[in-house]
Amino acid sequence: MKRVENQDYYQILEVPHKASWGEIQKAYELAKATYSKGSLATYSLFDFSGRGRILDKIEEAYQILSHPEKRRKYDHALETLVVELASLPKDADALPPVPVATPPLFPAPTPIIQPPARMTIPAGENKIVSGKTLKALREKQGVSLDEIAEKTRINISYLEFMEANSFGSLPAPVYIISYLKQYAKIVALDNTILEGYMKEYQQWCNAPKQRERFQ
Amino acid sequence: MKKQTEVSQAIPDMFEALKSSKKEVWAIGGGKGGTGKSFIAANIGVAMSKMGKRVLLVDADLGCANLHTVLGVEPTATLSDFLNGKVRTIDQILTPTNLPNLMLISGACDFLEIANPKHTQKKRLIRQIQDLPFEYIILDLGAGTGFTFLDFFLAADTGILSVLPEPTSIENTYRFIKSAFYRRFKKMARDPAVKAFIAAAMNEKNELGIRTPHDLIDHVASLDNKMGQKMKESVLAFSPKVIVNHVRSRDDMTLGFSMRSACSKYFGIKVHYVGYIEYDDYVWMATKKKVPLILERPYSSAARCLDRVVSNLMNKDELKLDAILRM
Repeated sequence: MKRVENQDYYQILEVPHKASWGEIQKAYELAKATYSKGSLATYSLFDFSGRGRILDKIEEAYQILSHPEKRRKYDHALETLVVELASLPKDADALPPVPVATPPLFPAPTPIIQPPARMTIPAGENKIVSGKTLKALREKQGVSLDEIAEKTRINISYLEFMEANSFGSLPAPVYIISYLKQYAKIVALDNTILEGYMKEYQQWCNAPKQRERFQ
Repeated sequence: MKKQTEVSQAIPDMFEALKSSKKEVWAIGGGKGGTGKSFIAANIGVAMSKMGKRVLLVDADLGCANLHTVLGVEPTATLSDFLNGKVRTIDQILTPTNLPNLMLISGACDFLEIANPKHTQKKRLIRQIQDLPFEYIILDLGAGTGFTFLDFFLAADTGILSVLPEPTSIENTYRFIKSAFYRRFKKMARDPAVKAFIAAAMNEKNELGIRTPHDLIDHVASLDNKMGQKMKESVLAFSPKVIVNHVRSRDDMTLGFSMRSACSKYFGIKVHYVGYIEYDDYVWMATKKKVPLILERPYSSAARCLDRVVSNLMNKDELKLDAILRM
């Protein structure tokens, strides 16, 4: 693993490249708490200047990665660097420095960051929402089913059935709506998506089919 | 409690059943008593044996053995009997427990003298333990920080550290990690000059300006580039698992993530945060009764935390930051 001075912003905040805005926010808060002066976690490890250097880097990383446009430019610079590295002869000393945006000499005022809006279906699109769509939206937000199950205490099997469109295995509609609402709250989905899913459920209810017999 | 004769019959059966099974050795260590190592070792063993895994618990905390007390069993023969030659083969010191899949090798019950086994004795012990037909061998290294304990920790497939959310425990944990690191480096180095260099660097106030493992590796690389490379590779292979015990608040829960980050930036190692255990009065109540918590109070919060730890250890997984922050 590289020294802090040679790490890119994602490595400094310890987030993956595809990290969502929320993940970056949380990682930043954790990092600040970890390396601050009175922190329990770094007791006995870093001296004053080492700690200061890391905190500066964390701040720098956050200023870039939390701003969508700056992040986009940074990602592009990183990609270019990767291409350059691939074409270099194998010599560790020839590594070009990791690109950094020129940091301001004095810390810039913290921009007011808006949390991402609730996810919704674009107007005019097919109003039916399948379980597969729910799953895709959930994964886009970086939320796992385990988390939803833990937070809402909904049986994880039902959540799986919901995402798999296994309507026959779900309980009565009143429960499904309740589960959906809790699910939507955690994944930040708005009402059009809930309605779309219930439309799909309605279609299934109306379709003529064999009812399964349970022993 | 099963008698010794029943055990001697059980072993050949297990040998037959487990001819080509995989085997994992887990070591629980980290210095300083009271962080819950024996509690964690015993209850992890119980939890896994209830799942049907064949588990051997080894109390390597010579001189301060407690596993037999946590489990509520009376060993007939112990590790010291093996080490001083009173019994020849290791199956004679296997103590059965109330669970069919769980056996214990108990540490010395009395003399503190045996706490420093000779090198040949250690080798004989390790070889014979590795031949036993268990899927998981869990070593409770106790509070030991001597090089015997470090070696066991480094040799295990999975090294587990238990830490309390207190500065003293955290300090000890980092000290243990540093020692394990430097011990591994020293053993790797062939050149006496490099060996001496590493020994000198272990002193924090050394004159060489070596503050962090990064500094050390860079300096060694300047003396001997190949050795520097080997050291870098061994760093990548070292990934201890951390459990935070006696958790009382959300800050305590996130401590594991902070420690993971700190170890990454300071040591350059990848620590896995496999879980936390909430502070729970049922723990000391079970200890007083000499019954493992998992059997006594399986639905207590500490027991459920342990279940999650076991799951993460077996699946090579760790806690997610999101799961904590959404609570």
